[in-house]
Amino acid sequence: MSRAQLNKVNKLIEHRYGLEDEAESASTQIQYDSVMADIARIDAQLEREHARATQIGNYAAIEAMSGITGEGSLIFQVDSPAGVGRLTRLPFFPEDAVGTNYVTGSGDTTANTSVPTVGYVSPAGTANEVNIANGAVITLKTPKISWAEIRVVGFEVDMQGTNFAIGGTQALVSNSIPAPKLIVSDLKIGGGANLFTHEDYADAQIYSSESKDICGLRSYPVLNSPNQAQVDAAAVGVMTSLAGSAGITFTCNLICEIISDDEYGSHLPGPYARGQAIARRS
Amino acid sequence: MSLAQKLANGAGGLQFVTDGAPGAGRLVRVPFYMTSAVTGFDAQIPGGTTLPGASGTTSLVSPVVLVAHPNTLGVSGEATFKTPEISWAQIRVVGFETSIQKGILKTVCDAQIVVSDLKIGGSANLFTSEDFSPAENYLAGSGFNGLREYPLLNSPNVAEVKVAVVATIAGVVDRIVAASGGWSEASLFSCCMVCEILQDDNYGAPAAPGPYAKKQAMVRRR
Repeated sequence: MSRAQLNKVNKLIEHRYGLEDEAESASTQIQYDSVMADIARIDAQLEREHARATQIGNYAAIEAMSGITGEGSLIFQVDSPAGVGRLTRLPFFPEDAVGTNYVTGSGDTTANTSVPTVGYVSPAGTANEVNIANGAVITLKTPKISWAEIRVVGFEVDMQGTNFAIGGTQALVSNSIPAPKLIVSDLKIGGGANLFTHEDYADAQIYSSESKDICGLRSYPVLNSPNQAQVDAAAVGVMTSLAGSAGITFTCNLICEIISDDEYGSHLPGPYARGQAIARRS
Repeated sequence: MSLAQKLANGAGGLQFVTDGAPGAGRLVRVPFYMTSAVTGFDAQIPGGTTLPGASGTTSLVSPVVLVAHPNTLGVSGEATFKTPEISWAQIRVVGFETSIQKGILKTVCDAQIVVSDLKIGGSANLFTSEDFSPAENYLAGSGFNGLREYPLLNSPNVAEVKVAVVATIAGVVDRIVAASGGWSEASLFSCCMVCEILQDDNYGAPAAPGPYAKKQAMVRRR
């Protein structure tokens, strides 16, 4: 380990911190530019020292001393917000009346354009039998967004299943059956092609909001008013003995990048939403 | 990242990261549908009803299948699940995922769903195990489980996998009155392939596939 180089780098770093403070308190543009030029010169010196440290085996000592990685070279990561306008969520609403046993924000099967939550509750079954009564297909739509240009980058479903009250005339044990599942199909923007890879239904679990990974789509189209996104959904695997013995409450959302916003201006979308950032290099 | 850049991020070297979307055409899912059923396996179709004791319903539309707890000990027969023929795209398979929903309270041990023999067309098995593995090994959200190879899935080839259920304690038949199956302690099951789209007839070549699907990114350097 070269102690002399460590001391030199330490002085450069201390000097740089001092200049950063000066830049923050600069009262004129000229003063600010001058300080930033000094910082750039120090950065160039640090780069040279960094290269030399790599050659003479001083790299880890410099990183630790400068406080970048800490003693032992641990690297620390913190989850952070995505940045303004990135990974925003746009809910789907039951704009049309939904089928029997579905419940909207209106309290029954009536359409609702202000509450995205939809529920499905099992109907009463036949005495002494446990049947399965799956929900019919319903269509959900996003509102028309006139105030922004948006790129769709994902689809997400929040689901809360219940299976609370098997019993009554049956000898079933409470909660011994699975909660229902939601299936989804045919996500599209306006009259566009299906954005799902599956032409038929898929288990909505692959789009679950509880999953750390965001499931891919075939394309990331732009959503411009008056176009709307729409998706088909149905509750299945719904066991019924007494009315309400099982059910599922769910909301569907688009994951979007706001490209331009009438109120808040334009933003830089994340790299996953920029063609250049994921282009194939030949 | 240079030393100067690291310093500019703040002393202490904290790195700030956020989860992103994977990019168009990456990590898409293609569901399996049950094309050949056995007793105790019933596909769940929108608007459909299933009566007690019924079993063996297949579906090319809905991937969710009710798997009953067997009334006899041991492994059940094998149901066959297949993906549809994807004629509109060239796809590379990069993973396999399952989703299992069970009842909360149990009076007997769960029957375990097991999978085997994942293959594309007439290919060799993509699972590392030649025999059955627990479907929980491939549970969605628990990290991607590796496969022996990442093959192309080109129409008319389809992917297929065998699914069975194992009971170590017999299901209690009388919990569902007038039924011969066993819906108490049943599970809802689905599975899918995790894929990269290389070429899409509708949307073109979406992007470079992720590095996990590019040979060059995994080549051993000498």
